[in-house]
Formats: sequence, C-alpha cells, structure tokens
Amino acid sequence: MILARHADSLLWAGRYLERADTIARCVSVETNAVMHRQATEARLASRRLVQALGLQDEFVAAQVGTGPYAVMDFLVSDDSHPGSVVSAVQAVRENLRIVRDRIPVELWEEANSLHILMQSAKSVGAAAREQTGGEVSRMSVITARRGCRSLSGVMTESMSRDEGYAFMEAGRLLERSILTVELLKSGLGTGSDVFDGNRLLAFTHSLQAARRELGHSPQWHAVAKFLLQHSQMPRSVLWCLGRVELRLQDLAAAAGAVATARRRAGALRAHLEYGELDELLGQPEAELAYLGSALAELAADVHTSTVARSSLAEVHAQFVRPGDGRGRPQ
Amino acid sequence: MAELQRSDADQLAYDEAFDRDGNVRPLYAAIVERFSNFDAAELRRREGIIEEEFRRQGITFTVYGDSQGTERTWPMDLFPRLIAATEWQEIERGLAQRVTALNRFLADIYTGEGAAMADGVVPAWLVHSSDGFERNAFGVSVPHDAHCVIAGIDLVRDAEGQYRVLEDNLRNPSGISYVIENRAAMTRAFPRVWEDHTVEPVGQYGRMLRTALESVAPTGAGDKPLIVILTPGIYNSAYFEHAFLAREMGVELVEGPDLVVDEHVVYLRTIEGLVPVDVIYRRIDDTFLDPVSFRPDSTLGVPGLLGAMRAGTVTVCNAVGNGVADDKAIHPYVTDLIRYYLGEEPILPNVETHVMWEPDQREAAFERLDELVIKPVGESGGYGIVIGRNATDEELANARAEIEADPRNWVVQEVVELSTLASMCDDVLEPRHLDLRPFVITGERTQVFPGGLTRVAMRKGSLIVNSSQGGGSKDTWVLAPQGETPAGT
Repeated sequence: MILARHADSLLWAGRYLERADTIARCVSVETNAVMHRQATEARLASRRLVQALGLQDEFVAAQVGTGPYAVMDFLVSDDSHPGSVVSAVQAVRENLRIVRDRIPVELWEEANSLHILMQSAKSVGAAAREQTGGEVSRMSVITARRGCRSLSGVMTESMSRDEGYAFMEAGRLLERSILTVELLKSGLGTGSDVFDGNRLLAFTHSLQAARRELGHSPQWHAVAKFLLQHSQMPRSVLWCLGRVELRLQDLAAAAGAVATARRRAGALRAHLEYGELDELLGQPEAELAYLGSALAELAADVHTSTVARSSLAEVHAQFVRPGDGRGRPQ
Repeated sequence: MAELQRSDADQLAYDEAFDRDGNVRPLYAAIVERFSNFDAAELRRREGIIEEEFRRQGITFTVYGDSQGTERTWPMDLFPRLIAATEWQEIERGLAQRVTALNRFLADIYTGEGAAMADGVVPAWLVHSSDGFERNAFGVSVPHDAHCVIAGIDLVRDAEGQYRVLEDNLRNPSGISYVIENRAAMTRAFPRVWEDHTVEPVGQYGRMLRTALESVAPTGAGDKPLIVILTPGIYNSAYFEHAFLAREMGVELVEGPDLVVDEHVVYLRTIEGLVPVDVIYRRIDDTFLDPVSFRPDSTLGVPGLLGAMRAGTVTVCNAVGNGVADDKAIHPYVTDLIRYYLGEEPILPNVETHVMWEPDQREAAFERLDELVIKPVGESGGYGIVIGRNATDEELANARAEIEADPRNWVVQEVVELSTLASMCDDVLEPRHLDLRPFVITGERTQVFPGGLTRVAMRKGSLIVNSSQGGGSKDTWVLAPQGETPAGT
C-alpha cells in the first residue's frame, strides 16, 4: 500500500534524479570540449545544449553573461530556474524528504548530503565562480555525478521492490527516454553547432558501448537506432520502455488507474520494437517529434494514475483492508 | 585538558555533578574523569562530528519566522546527564502515578460524571473556562481511558536536588526523536564512554508507541489496525520527528489531504483506492484538526474527522480536549487530583504555584512579584514568561495590570533555581541550567520511557531551555541498577 501523494513524490524524485544526472553528464562532456574550442564556437554549442535540454526561455530570462563558462554555470549552479543541476538535486531532496519515513535512511542521507554540497557551491556566487575559470562548477559537476551514482546504487540495492520503487524507477526511465529523444534532435541539421554522433553518445553515457558496435565515427542514423532501439543498453528508449511497462504491470495488479499508462507504454514499446525504424527515421524530425510527445503523454498518464480517486461513490464499492481484504464490519 | 568548572560556591542552584564543597558527586566520577582527559580542541573536534552527522542526516528543526525556511541542526551538548537507577525508579513511579491520575481526570471530565468538580477538588468553572476544554470531545470515550497516549512531563530540580513538576504536556509533546538521535550521536562521537557505565537503552520507543496505539484502536479494527501519523507537513518545525516516528513504527506519515471521511469513516487515499484508518496519531493541534468543527480556514485537517471520532470508527491520539488538563491553571490542582483518584500521596511534588483568581494569593503575589515567575496559562515554548528578578519595574507593572484585567489567564510560580550541569561553552565546560522532559506512554498500561529529553539553557544564568529560544539538549543516561557507581567511591 502506498499513499497517492507518496507515489507522486517518488515518481518526481526519480525524474529529477535522472535529470540531475543527465545535465551533469552533458555539462561534463561539454566542458571538456569547451577547453579545446574557440570561444564563439564553444558558446554556440553550449547554447545548443541549453536548447536540447528545453531551457531556452530560462536562458533568456537569466541574462546569462558572455564569459566562456557562463553557460555551464547556468546549467549547473543557477538555482533561479528549475532546469539546473542544483535545482534538480534540490527537487530530488525535497521529494524524498516527503517520503523519508518510507525510503531507506541511506537514500535520504545521500540526497541530503548531495544537496548540502551543491548548495555550498552555489553560495560562492556567479561572478566568483566565473573568475575561477569554471573550476567551482566543474567540481560541482563531479560532485553531482558521484552523488547521483551513489543515490542510484542505494536505490537499487536497498529499496524494497514495492510500489514506491516502481514509481521511482518509472520516473527515472521515463525522464531518461524523454531526454534521449531531445538530445537526438540536437544532432539533426547541418550547422556548426550540431552535435556529432560521438557527442550524442557521450551525452547519453553510451559512447564506450556504442564504439564496439558502431566504430569511431558513427553517423546520426546509426546513433539514433542505437539509442532508440538497442535491446540490451539501459540507455536506449526501448530498454527503458520495457522496464517501465514491467513496473506498471506490477502496479496495475492492485491499482486499476495505472492500466491506461501501462497500455500506452506497451504500445510505444511495440512501436519501437516491431516498427520499421529505418523507414520511420527516413523522416527523423517527424519520428522524434512523435516519440517526444508520446513519451510526455505517457509520463503524464503515470502521474495522473497516482492522483487518488476521491469520488466517494467508489468508497463503498472498492475499499480494501491490507492483509485480509475485508471491509470494516458495519 | 579541558577545564571543567563547577558552579560558583555562592550559587543557589543544585549542581548535578559537584557537591557544595566542589567535590565530584560519585554518580559523575567516571564521566568527569573521562572528560578531564580531553582538551578543548578534542572536544571541539567531536562536537564537529556530531554537528556534521546531524546536518548530513537532516536532523533539523525549522526556524519559524524565517522567510528562508531555514532548517537548523539540533543543538546537542557533549557532556551527558546521568540519572542513578534508584533515583529514576522514584521518578518513574511518580510520573506513572501522575499521568494515570491525569487520564482519570480527562475521562471524568469528558465521559464521566465530573466527580472531581462535584466534590470540589477542582472548581468546575475553571475547567469549563479553559481554552483546552473542548465540547466536541464530550461523550467521546477512548479505550482504556487513554486520553493521553503520549505525555511529556517537564521536571526541574530545585536547590535541594528534589525533582518537581514544572508543566504537564498532554497534547502534542515533542522531542522524543532527539532523545534517540542524541544517543546515536553520543555513541559515534564518544565510542568509549560506555565502558564505565551500563545505560538503559532508548531504541525501543517505536515498538512501545506502536503497541500502545494498537491497543487504543476501535473495537471494529481487527487485530492489525491501520495506524497513521498526521503531520502538518514538511515545513512544520517538528517534521523531522514526525518522519522519524513513522519510520520507527513502520506506519504511514500522512497530511490532511491524504485522508477523506465518508459516513463517519476515515479513509486513506492510496493508489489502490481508499483504505479505512483505525488510529490517527495526530501531530496537529485540536483547532486545526477538522475545519467543519473548528477553524474553517484550516487546510491541515480533515473535514468530518470529529464526526468519525464521535462515531467511534477511529481513535485520535492524543484525544481532543486534553488541553484542559495541562492548562497551567489546572497544574496546581494535580497533586490533589492524584490523592482524589488514586488515594495515594503524590510522589513528585509540583513547583509551587499561586493561582491569581484567589484574591489572597493574588495580593500576596503582588507584594513580591519581583521574586516570582509570571506565566500566561495559554502559552507554551517559553513565550510570554516574565521572570520577576530580571524584569524592569515597567515590565512588572504591566504584568500586574494584565493579571488584574484577567486573573484566570495567569499563574505565578516560585522561582526554582533549576539545577545546573557542565556544558560546553566556548572552550570550557561551564555549569548551565537544565530541565528534563520524560515521556510517558499509555495504552493498556502506563509506561515511562527511560530518561527523556534534557534541555539546557546555553546562555549563562538563563532559565529558558526551549530550543526555539536558543536552548540545547543533552544525552540523558538512566543507569541500569548493576551499573550504578557505588556510593562513596
């Protein structure tokens, strides 16, 4: 049994954990590239990353400076918008705080420790961070990546595979799929700011694994197939959807409201598993747009399924008592 | 070596570790010796370990009035407070006796015949005019008459070392989580101090409380009642404790909107649908509990909860209306209530308290207000208290005017020179005033949890120990009988 509100918090904790991890990884990849590039070129590429992460509006509003590390700082340490690593870590912590009585103590403590470390970097101030040549933000990225791995490890090793775990894992994998599709979009086109295949693989933590299969200079099409359809790579959308479907299947046994999300996950998984992806990727923009919106709708369905049914008419028909399944004697 | 200071010879307060001649009391001999071997830097280092651990674990309380919602770590002093086994047995009996009588009093008021009032032990008008008296609780019985499942009784030691009851907290006493976390922190920071003592453990609270809560479930609940803790949410100053207790007991931590009432049954909103709730350990005040019966603007409570409680389908702990029995105006009558209900002499005396609605007592108090402590009956957390000897003439005149305007709202207590104990201040261990809040659990029977929360005023000379006002805490050791240091060593 899990409270609807707790299920929702765990779903979002999972989503924000994945988001913090992915942004930190992308920034880490980009930072290495910045050091080897001309300032203008580096800035263009960073802007493209901002766009891929869906943060254009926040970027404009934040009036980010022109220094070479300003974009990185915006993505890592700027808590004025919800898309930075520091904000995502804070959201993980706040969501886990709501459920701290039901999750392993270590999971809460890791999230809390990571939050404290990220806040201390934030307190240095943007100007001072820029003066260090991005050093502070680089350290924050390293801290965040270690912290996210640690959280992920505790989650996998210590959490009971109950409904709470199912929601948290579903949240992580859905967010991962959504971000993968968005990042793939940033490899389309011909401009100098378009990310090449290796960069896309590095952003999605798949470079090493893909190199064995795709070689050193994979084209976008091959990368897209790898990241969308690989059956054994935990970073591929197909793999993620397979797991989400399993988790939703577990949940649907007890919680009928999850059934819609489960059907949608199954349909989308089948689309990727059995669809003619080569043909579909003939029109890559259209296919990615479809996948992006289908994943967003699926995430929304999962969220909706946690919202408790409060219609009192349902009370008499379906209330349950854990353990014996009987209702209260009248 | 850290300097361990005893109280000044001319100080009136009872120093728990040193006698009047400056000799270490036998109870404290081993711990004083151990602390004497640490220099100030070492103590600071260990203090740092505790602070860091509390921060990492999020053992914090939220500071009210701070727009940032700042979470502050719980301040714990390094030097522990010790209570000898024989001394504790006396306290334990005294507390069980007191809480038993208070529960009888609450049952008498709400479901009994009002015998104590009819027999003149407590004036009926005083009971019925209490802010804590709740008409909605009238006729609502609680299994085992456990109106107060969790009580926190504030004790102080007077100049002779005698424990006295300063206040009863029968509504939502907090602090138990810090008792348990203080012990864990002490163990991490001073792993070897336990070599000299056998100390009563504190880890069993969750089990004790859960057993008590199960025992007060309504009769229709079956043998596995569903228990929840109702919290105002993450911004409440005691949220850490609410989450801690839910974890320790293995029950759900819920907020008002997680519950819904239909036809006088309370349900929990889960992803599987609505599940009936049997026992609610609420950590929100009476007036926020149910917007239908109390404050209509409360978003923390559950509409219809009181109806369900009155219908007997759910037990709310502590019961609604307990505030009448911990009203500071009722406090002076508690010793008589013990005699009345139990036919026993009170084991723990009260701090001497004068009631201001009795003209003789009022006039006598006015003669020497500058020697007394003036308390509004409706406040808690140390707010609104005027300590006569520290007050200006103007403050005393104001207090006098307020008492004359509404005598029911005030009590005046004799100053108790709260006992002192060495506490880490800058780089020396200096005596600071402290009190003790033991916790008493009532289900089928009344049990006292060993030790309790020792609160310490970290400002020199201050008698205000509340954490909201800069107070700290100490790990409190009740020594097991066999571990007691023999007298005279």
